Amino acid sequence: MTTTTTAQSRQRRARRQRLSGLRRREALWCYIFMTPAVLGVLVFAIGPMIASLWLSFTDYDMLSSPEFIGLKNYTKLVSDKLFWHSLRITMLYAVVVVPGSMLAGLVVAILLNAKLPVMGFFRSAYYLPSVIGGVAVARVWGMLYNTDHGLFNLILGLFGIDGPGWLTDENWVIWSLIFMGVWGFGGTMLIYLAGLQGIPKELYEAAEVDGAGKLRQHLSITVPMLSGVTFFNLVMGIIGALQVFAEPFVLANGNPSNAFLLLPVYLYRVAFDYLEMGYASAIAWVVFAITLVLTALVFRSLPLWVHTEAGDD
Amino acid sequence: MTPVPLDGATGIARRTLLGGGLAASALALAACSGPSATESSAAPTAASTEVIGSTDLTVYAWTNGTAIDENFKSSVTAFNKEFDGKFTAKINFLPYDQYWQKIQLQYAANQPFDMYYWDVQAYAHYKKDLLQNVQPAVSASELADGSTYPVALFDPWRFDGTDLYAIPENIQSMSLFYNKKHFDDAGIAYPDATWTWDKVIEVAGQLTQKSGDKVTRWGLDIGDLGAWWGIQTLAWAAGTAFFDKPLEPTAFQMTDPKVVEALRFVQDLMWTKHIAPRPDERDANNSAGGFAGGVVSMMPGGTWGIASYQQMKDGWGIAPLPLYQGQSVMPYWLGGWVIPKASAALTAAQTFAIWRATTFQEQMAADHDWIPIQDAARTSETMLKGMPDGFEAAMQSLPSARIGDLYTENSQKILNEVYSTHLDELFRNKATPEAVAQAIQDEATALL
Repeated sequence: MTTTTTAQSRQRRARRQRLSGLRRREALWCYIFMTPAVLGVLVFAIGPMIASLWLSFTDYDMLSSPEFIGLKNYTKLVSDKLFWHSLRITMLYAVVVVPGSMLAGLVVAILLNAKLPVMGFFRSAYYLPSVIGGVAVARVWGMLYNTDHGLFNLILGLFGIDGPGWLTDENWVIWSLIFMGVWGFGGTMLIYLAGLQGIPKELYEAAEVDGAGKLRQHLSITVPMLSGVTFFNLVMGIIGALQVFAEPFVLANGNPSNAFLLLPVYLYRVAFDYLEMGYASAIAWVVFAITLVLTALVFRSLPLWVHTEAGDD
Repeated sequence: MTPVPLDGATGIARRTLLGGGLAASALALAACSGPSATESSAAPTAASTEVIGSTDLTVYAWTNGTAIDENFKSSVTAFNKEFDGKFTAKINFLPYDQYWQKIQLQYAANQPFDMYYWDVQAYAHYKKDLLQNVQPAVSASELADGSTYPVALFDPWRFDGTDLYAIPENIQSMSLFYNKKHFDDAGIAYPDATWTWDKVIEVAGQLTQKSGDKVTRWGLDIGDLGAWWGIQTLAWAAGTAFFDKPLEPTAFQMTDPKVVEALRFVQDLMWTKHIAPRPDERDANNSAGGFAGGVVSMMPGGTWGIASYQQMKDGWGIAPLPLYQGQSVMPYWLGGWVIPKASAALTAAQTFAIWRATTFQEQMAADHDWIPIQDAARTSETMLKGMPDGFEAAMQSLPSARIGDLYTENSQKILNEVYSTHLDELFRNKATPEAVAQAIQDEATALL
């Protein structure tokens, strides 16, 4: 009995050792394969972020070594009128563009979810703006917005309306950027479209049997069932809206007006026109903090409006 | 796959990984902060025959369009031919909106460009003690000869009061551009040095053409009077200036009544008199071609516009800036080369810059892209043959011209954030000249 137990014990130990060796080899390979990605993140993301955080406490113009100045860059922001102006118009942009593009994306996704033969073309057409680079889009919109020769004012002219200076009138610039932002709803639409495919048809059939019209069906079934997708689009939309750069930068085209000065453009100007890298880093971290707070608020609100299977349970 | 527990054996790997990661972060941090760019190699004390640094030179300039860039390349080829076996140069072009960023990054990486083309941003490099004192090289060349070069005009580049920190090779100014065909059609004599701004305003009204309510041709566009240095020419003519001195100013003088009057004068051209297009109308007018497109009859502008108007269908000429309150003071700007102290090809860079400012001047005159700094080349038949009518007369005002720059470390911030913003308000009639002057005065002073 004892002999048998000892032999079994040896066998188990040998098996464990074999398994342990196998696991170690697996772990080793795991780390080897992870290393390039981890190094990439450390060197090109985490490292620069740490450097940027450190630089935000310094006076640094790239010509001489950074000089530690404590919180001066952050306190300077408080009295920087241009920063507050940039923050104000960036928030206005985000407040209109994020829900605007989500609503447009949802409506178009519902329309494109119909099983019709030409829908493939329309899906591609509506998604196309999302794959075109921001600079190219801005160039085209710049032509459309031209006060005298642009398409928009030509169309308004047909109705006897004297179109505004879309890119020259300070009061209209931000709205021109907002229209462009909403127009780029293709990405949001595609995600909604994917979400729509996952809603069981039985729910609509049951609602129809109960006498619900199309609008009621969408309000009571589509919207709640897509709340998870809406949550994702909202978070990504907020992040994207606070980072919009190419469109205002290209459309400004040297225009000295501060109407184009969204926060990322202001950050660029401070960093690369004035070479105040410390101050620009402070702005970047404040933008990061704002994004973080807004995203956290959306996450906190999640149980109130997002329909989840776990929640149903 | 079942997750692999991090036992003792793999714990070492984790520590190694973390250590490696931290080291990578530290490396990234170190790379971002970098050593001080002010550290540089020993600079030569005088122009000598000893070659300091590499004989292979890389020249950096911003791109100025195909024609001018090609001329630059040709000059490099000519240099290589002349200095065959001694130096080999090549030239790289960068877009202007990336130019200064790249230069700063090279400094930050302790690998400054061998040499680069000057603009006011380079003054900050002088302030950081990064620029080579080129006075010994200039003194040893023809450039120091007052009988063949306008050496007094180099003074603004003597940042320390005595020595040059950039090598000048060309000069630019400002003139009144006019469309000869418009004048001929209207039977009006061309502008000349006797013209006053009152005369310009009077003639502009006569040259303006309308179709119904819509102006189809403007007699005048404010042109470069829309730039701070353009308006300052009016302030100069009135006996004042925007600031007390261009090199490290100690006070702005924007609220001086004469400066306010100059601001009002330009605003009135667009809004009260409306003989020049307002900003929105200017955008439309520029879309239609502006002066080059024949929809503007007169326009004050920088002489660097000469090259771009050579292809104009209509004949055109230039005249000295009109008299304002009885005076006309021309601005001027120097073009040239900056050489970092830590340039890897110090002698080659100095040789190239001096060669362009001396031997190459005749060819520069023939190229008609830049206006040579050398008196003989600038006034040569070769130069004048390709220049518009009035060029010679306009250049005669150079000795009394004043530098149109502002030299402070943060000049870009002062000019872009303060001057451009508030002048834009002035041009859009969103603020009175007094309010604009006060705003610039306060904000620019705060940035000094």
